[in-house]
Amino acid sequence: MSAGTWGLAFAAAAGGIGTIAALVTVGPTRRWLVGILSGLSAAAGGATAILVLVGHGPVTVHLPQILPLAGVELNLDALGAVFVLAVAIVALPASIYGIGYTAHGLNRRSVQAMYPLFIVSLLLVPAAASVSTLLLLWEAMALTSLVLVAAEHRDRSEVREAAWWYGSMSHLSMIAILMALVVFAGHAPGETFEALRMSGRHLSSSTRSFVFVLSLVGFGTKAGVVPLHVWLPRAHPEAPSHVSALMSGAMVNLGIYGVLRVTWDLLGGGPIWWGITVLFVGVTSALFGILHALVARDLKRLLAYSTSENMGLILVAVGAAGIYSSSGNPMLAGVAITAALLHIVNHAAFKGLLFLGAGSVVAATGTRDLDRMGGLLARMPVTGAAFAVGSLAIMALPPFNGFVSEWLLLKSLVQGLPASSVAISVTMPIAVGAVALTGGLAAAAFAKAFGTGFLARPRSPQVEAAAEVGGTMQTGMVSLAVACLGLGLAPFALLDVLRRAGAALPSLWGGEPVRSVGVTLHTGGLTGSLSPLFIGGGLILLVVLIPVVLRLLGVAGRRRVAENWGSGRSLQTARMEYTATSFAEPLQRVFDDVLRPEFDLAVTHTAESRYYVEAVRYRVGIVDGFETHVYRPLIRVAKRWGEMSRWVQNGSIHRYLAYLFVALLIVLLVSQ
Amino acid sequence: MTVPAAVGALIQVTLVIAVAPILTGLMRATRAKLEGRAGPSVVQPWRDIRKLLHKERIKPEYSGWVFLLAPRVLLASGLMVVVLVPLITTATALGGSGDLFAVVYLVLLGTVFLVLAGLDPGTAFGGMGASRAITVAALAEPAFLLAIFALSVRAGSSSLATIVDSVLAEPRSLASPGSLLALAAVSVVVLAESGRLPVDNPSTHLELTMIHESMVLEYAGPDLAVVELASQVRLTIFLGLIANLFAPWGIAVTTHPADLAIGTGVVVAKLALLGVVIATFEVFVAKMRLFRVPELLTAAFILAFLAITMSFFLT
Amino acid sequence: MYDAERLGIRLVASPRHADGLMVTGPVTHNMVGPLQKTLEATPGPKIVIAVGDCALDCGAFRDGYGVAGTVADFVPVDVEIPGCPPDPSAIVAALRGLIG
Repeated sequence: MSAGTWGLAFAAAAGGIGTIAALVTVGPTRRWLVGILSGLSAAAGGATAILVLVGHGPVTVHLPQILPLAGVELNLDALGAVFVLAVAIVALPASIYGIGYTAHGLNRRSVQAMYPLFIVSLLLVPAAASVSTLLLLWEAMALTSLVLVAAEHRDRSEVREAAWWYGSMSHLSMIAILMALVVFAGHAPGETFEALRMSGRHLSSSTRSFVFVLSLVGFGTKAGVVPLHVWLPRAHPEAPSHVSALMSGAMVNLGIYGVLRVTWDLLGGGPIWWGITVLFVGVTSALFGILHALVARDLKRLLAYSTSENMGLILVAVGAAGIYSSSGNPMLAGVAITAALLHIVNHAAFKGLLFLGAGSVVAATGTRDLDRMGGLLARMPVTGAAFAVGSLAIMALPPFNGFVSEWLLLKSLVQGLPASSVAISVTMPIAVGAVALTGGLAAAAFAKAFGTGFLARPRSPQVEAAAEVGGTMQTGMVSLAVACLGLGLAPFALLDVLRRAGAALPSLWGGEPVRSVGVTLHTGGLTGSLSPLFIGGGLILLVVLIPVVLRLLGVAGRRRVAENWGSGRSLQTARMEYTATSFAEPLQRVFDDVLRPEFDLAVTHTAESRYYVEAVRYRVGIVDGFETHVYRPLIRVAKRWGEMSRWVQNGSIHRYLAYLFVALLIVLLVSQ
Repeated sequence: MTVPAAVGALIQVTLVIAVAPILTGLMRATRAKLEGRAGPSVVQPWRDIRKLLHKERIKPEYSGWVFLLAPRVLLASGLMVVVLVPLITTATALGGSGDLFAVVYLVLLGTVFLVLAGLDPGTAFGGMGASRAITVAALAEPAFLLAIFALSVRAGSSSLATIVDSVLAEPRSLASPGSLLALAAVSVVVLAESGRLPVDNPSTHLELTMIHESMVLEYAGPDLAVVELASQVRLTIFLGLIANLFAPWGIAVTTHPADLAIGTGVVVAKLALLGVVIATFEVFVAKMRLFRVPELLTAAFILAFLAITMSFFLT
Repeated sequence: MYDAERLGIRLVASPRHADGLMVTGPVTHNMVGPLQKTLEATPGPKIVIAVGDCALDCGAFRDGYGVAGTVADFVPVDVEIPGCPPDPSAIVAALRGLIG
């Protein structure tokens, strides 16, 4: 057995032991064992991924006897290894975080038992090398995460609703993936990915398109792209925060993995309309996601919509890569796919960090409502600093990691012009405009999240009493914050790794799209370069130097603490601060037509006279447009179908026997 | 990073720090003269900064490290942009460390920190300024990036030095519709990002009409000096970018001392000219309602989009 | 002609940006607190300039029911400019006296 195989086996074994430990032990022992064993499992998976990525070659595991009808085939190549690495980056800190986090009432047997299995399934899905293995692991991932999402279903009814939405959409996506892969495998000599890859190019174009569309729908649902995203903003807020971190930072990536694997590896790429479709799906997701994140009042809902937005950005990069490779421009396709893979890794780091921070806030204050928070930076300094790092990273600001992947993404879109193809000349400017608008709105959304949540004064008494969280939770957050800074200053360490991953998709790769010379990144043909270390390091150096220079100029050091200047007002309360809703209101007004907020104004007059007002109640709410206009009508139709079909299934055993008889007759007739 | 490149960068930074307050002073003096007043002297902002450095330092009650860090980040990001942008010479090797996209994100970094600093003390006006500022910044970003896209298409690269070199090599390309549209879009964005009329009035005293000023209402003494200098440096950068991307003649292409001296003189003259033009424009235009500003920025976005499509169809 | 900006004096939006306060009119009961808060919000070194007869000795409002006192009763005054109203050139001369 090679080192890689040992790594995967260790990861699976650690997960299994973790589950058993959760079932057998109780109390703090259970928390610690589950946390440590899950962390070890994640670390083993990550180490295996790194081994594959530094050139060790793919890790293959062949277990034909394990399952009836089909064995378990695992083949972790460079592409899958990037996704396993992204999972490990989130899972290790999240598991450590979970040790402290689950002490607040989540230390239940069911929850703790499912958690290591969830991590193992996340690590193994990118390694699946046959249709049945992939489907099996996919279902395992869906079921374990469903149990984890429903962890608090006894305490809150929203959790039950969230679990219903998640479970249904998860299984609808499973059906789509199943259909796509089964049709594909039906035309191939076998059901392993090798067999599919060999026959991919020889399928008829209608079959290929069918497989492409269905796998985009199925995997896209898991990735949370619009319009299949409606489960995301419900399930992620209600799940326990370390699970949300895993779901947002690791699980949604696997949707992208599925699209990449099926479309560009197994099918071998396709016509230009595939790339255009993926790009437009990405653009819609990015814009819709960030708009709803901007106006969200619930902190975790904001983060969930932002995940949808980031997946949209990644799909923009993937779609651009597809467009470029179909137009005969493999170098640019390589730049785009590198941007996509880098953003996947970066997103895992900063989204995981943000969710862990949000979890600490929820644990300390008991509320997710941004309009009630404030002043947490003073009360929870470590959480606040970590959340600040995560916010700056997701806003794509130097010196953190989001800046580099956003830069690469913009470069890949911009380098396409001037082009001879009309498709490129029209889609690239639209894509750049959309990515730019998303970037601006993301800055607004996270300035709101961090600014109103952590700065100024608390806006409610429960938040005033907040205290910093425990050591394990802090460790989880700080390690991810350090990762964000490290990836931001030294991404060239990852470039070799991403090169191997991208090269595993030969239909999307050409030349040496992104090289690192020393500490500078160069995109293909020296048409652009960036030195994140120089910019980030220079920034940090200048920030440190400025007070030194001031001191040299004779500036005093001590500051007098004075009351806020409120134009001389005598009573200044926390109620006079800007809330999250008011902060986002100007931008919400700009996008009124898309968001369509619902207003509700109720004025109560005094009993004595209609001219005097006793109370005014104003409610504004923004609901997800797709949910109200697409999904609820569909649900109503499905319900009516269900009711209509009740007369078919009315419980009478005579009728059922009659059905059986008729079905048997039909089968016998057809098989003649 | 070679020694001549480091020296060139240092000269640029020193020059910008020296010139930025004087540019603001020139704009205020021009405005005053046009309004029939005697007006302040051109070096008054420098005297203001010197005075502020020796005043008492104040920290508002409920603010934290974000409030204290923001002026430094604002100035640091501005100076970082100065290092990357070719103002005096295009021959600095540091230009390879960042291109126009990096410039946009560095500017956004400063803006975001200032917005957070407006929220930190927990005052109503600070929050209001922060909310408005982030609205303007979020909507100016697409216009800015698309305008850069248009310029990069023309030059084949988003690296600033390459764009400047391509304009120097082919001056005709400036008269193309694409370049003119890009210039219009960039001008609107620069007015929005640096807080000038018609988006924001830099000399207003009415808090309800402020965007940038209300975020800095709580700063005093040396912190205020750093914030003022940083805002002036940002304005200088924006005007320098317009000058050198659209009218780069006179910029040095080597690090020869004579060339550098000429380049310095030329860029100072261009900045002065642009400053006077903007100040004159400000006298004759009124501030727009806040909720009309998105329309203005959308217009800039459309102009930039047209600039890109023009460069495709007309080449 | 009476532009104080040529002397380098500017009206600013917040007392935190200011070096001095120009106070006009008598101090009413409502304004005692705000006046003192404004002075406290100004960073040192700072000066207070009382402009006009009403600020110096309540002028015509001396026994008004809302008047609490003169400016000097509540904050230390450094420069006084008498007059009802003071001549613009007197104000400019007083300001110039502060600088030079």
